[in-house]
Amino acid sequence: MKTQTHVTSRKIFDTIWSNLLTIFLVIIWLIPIIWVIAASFRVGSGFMSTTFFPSAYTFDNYINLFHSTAGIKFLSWVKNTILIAVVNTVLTTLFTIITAYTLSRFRFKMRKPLMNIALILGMFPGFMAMIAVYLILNLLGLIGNIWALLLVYVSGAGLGFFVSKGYFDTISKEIDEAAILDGANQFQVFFKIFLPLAKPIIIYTALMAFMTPWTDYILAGLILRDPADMTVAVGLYNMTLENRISSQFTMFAAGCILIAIPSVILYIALQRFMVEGISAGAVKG
Amino acid sequence: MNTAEQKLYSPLSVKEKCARFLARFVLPFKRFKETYKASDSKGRIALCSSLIMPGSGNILLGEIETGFLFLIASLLYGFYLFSIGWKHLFGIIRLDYINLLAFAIVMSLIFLIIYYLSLESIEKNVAIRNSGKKLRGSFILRFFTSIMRKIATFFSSFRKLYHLSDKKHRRRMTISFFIMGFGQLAEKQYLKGFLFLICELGYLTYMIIAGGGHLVGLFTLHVLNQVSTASLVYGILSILITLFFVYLYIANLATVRSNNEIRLAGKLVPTIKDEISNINNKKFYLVSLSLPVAGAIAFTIIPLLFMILIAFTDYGTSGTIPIMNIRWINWTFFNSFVQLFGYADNLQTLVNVFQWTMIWAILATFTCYFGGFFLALLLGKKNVKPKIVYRSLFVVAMAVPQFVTLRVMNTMFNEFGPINTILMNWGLISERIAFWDNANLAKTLIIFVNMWVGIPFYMLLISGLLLNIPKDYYEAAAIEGASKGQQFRKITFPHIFFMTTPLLITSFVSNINNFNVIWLLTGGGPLGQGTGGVAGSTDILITWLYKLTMQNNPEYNLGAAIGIIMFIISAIISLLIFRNSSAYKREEEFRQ
Repeated sequence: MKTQTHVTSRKIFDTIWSNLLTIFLVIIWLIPIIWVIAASFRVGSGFMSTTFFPSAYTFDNYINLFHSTAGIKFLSWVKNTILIAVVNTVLTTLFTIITAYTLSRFRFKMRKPLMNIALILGMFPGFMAMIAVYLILNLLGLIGNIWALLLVYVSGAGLGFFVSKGYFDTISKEIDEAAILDGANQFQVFFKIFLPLAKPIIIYTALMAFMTPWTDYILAGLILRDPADMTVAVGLYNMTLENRISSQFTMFAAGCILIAIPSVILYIALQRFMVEGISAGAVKG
Repeated sequence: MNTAEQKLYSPLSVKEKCARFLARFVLPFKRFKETYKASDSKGRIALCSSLIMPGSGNILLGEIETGFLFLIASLLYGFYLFSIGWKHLFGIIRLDYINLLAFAIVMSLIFLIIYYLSLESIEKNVAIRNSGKKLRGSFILRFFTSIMRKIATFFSSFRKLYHLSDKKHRRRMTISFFIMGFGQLAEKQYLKGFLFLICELGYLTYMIIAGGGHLVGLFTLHVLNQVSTASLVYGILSILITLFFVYLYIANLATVRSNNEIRLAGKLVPTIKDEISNINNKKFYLVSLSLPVAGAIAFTIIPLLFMILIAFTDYGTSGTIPIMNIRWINWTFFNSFVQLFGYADNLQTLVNVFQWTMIWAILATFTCYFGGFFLALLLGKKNVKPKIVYRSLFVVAMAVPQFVTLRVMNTMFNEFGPINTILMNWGLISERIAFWDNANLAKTLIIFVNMWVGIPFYMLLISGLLLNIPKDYYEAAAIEGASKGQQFRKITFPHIFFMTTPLLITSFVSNINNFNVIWLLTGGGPLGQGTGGVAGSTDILITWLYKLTMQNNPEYNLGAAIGIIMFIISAIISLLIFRNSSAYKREEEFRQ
């Protein structure tokens, strides 16, 4: 009897401390987010404040974001970003998936060399080539054009095949072979049989492609110079530069909240696919 | 249990372990003498020359790559030692360069190891030679001989076909050497034939109008009315186009050959219809890969080649800002590397930045990995509820774009930011702390903030993997009476660790390249003492590269040289790991 009560009391203790620890960690992870939300409603413009929560609340920061004249064109930023994000999602996903599919399913002479080249290219630091990209776009007269940004994003899509290829390798080959025997051609096999099976990884790839223009401030900042052409990431990043942060921080916070809402919804809704996508890349990559 | 077995199973004392290690260490030298006695004069020469010049013996025996690696490593060390290294070693340096002494010592140790390894390898090679077996020989040499052989067999089979054919077909075969697509057109393969013909005409007109000039411009870099960078880009483009044309030319001859083979075998050559169905099925990859490959060439390969070439020019040394309208640049070969390694100031910066890069990459990878592991275990506990809410809250932290969270973190820890304010209000500190102005504080904070950013990702990943561990393992362990701790140590941890080793490597490499965290938190600052150039004390290689190429007074050639160094580091790490990974080993087993 005595041991049993001992066990249950230990269990209760265990429950309490693990829940407390979890809540503590959740709070740590939420503090910066809560602070930004609070800051976005604060009266005033800088980041200095005497208290954690503001003493007076206002919607002005959100309203100013849409009416401010000082180089802040939030509405056109969002429009640009959505345009790029949607087109990029479609094209990048298509290219990545098709490349991965081809390298996973077909055996041809250039397959191994192509994969090795992609591996080697991946070892160069990401934006070592960025200045050269800028130069090439300049030679083509494409600087300041949002379609140029899209061009660069999409043309890099083929190199990101590793995660999806790892996933495709696990899908049984017999199904498509049977379909080929029944007289289907490769396009039919790919679209009608393969894609439905590969849904998780496709959603993962699409989500990543969709998020790229919302988070990329380096390449986009290099290509897009005019305030009206910028994406949200570039515009908001510029607001945190040293000479602007003290006068525009609360507006920056408001903008962050506005763009974070859709991405948070997407991430939480697609959590399951994220897990599958990440683990496919981790384990088989 | 007899005494021999006892000896085998009894743990070795430290002394014995040392003795064994020493024996293992001395073994090559012992063998060296024996091998020397057993070998003929060539082997003896190889052994002796390796004693003086590491790697020279290997080259003598035909193992060119290993030989050159050893040779280059020792030559580099020699160059370093005789130019500035001796000053560091004997301490003829200013005090603030004190860690250059450590650098010199480490370099010397590395050289000794290389020397030892070279002796070991030459001994092994000579021993193999003495035993009458053949050495594997040079990889590059084998590669070229195999290509030569392939070309030779191609043309000999072509000649055979030529002699077997009648006069009409002979003529066609001869002409298709000069006019691409002629052979195909004659066989009524109009689509293919016209495509080949158009490619040849296009290539010739391109070369005559522009390509030839572009090729020359790549070597001189001085073309009238054209900035040198443009000449460089055009030059790379013309080389790639030429390579592609050579490929097409060979493909053209190959189809002519296969057509004639088919004809001589008495069958019909494939028609347009056959070709199209072939593309739809077997050659689907030609359709599906053409666009992605073209994109990769245009915006990844050409820029990378460009930047690699820039490392061997003087682009940017004069400090001119604009990218266009710049003066002509020149080829300076290894000058930028000499600049980086040859001057104490630059070398000091490089060593500092490299040290912090490695410390950062190791700490960032392991803190996030184990933090994520711990969090996944915590959230995986049965009594932690509601799981989905907790997990989603962590996902929120992951979903907010990194530049937002990191800029916010930067502001929070600002000297006048909320953290300082709260600490002041609570009376914990009496004056504001400038977190980002103190190198060590900034570094510590970077690691912690990176945990905030990275742990949710690993938590998601590892909780996904935890579900994959078969439940019966735990049931069996519970029946056997294993405690929770034992279950973790014997089942959970090995399982997850085994599955995530590839990820650990890739994330280590990607942390070396982790620009966002450093750039958005500190921008590489604060500018500390003892760091020359523009590198601050929290700069890692990638942020330094960014500063060198993207900010005022860009030094493109130095940036490119650093990029190449980073590439070498990542390549070595990946290679070492891939060689030890199961996939690579399995392939090796498969070969044997």
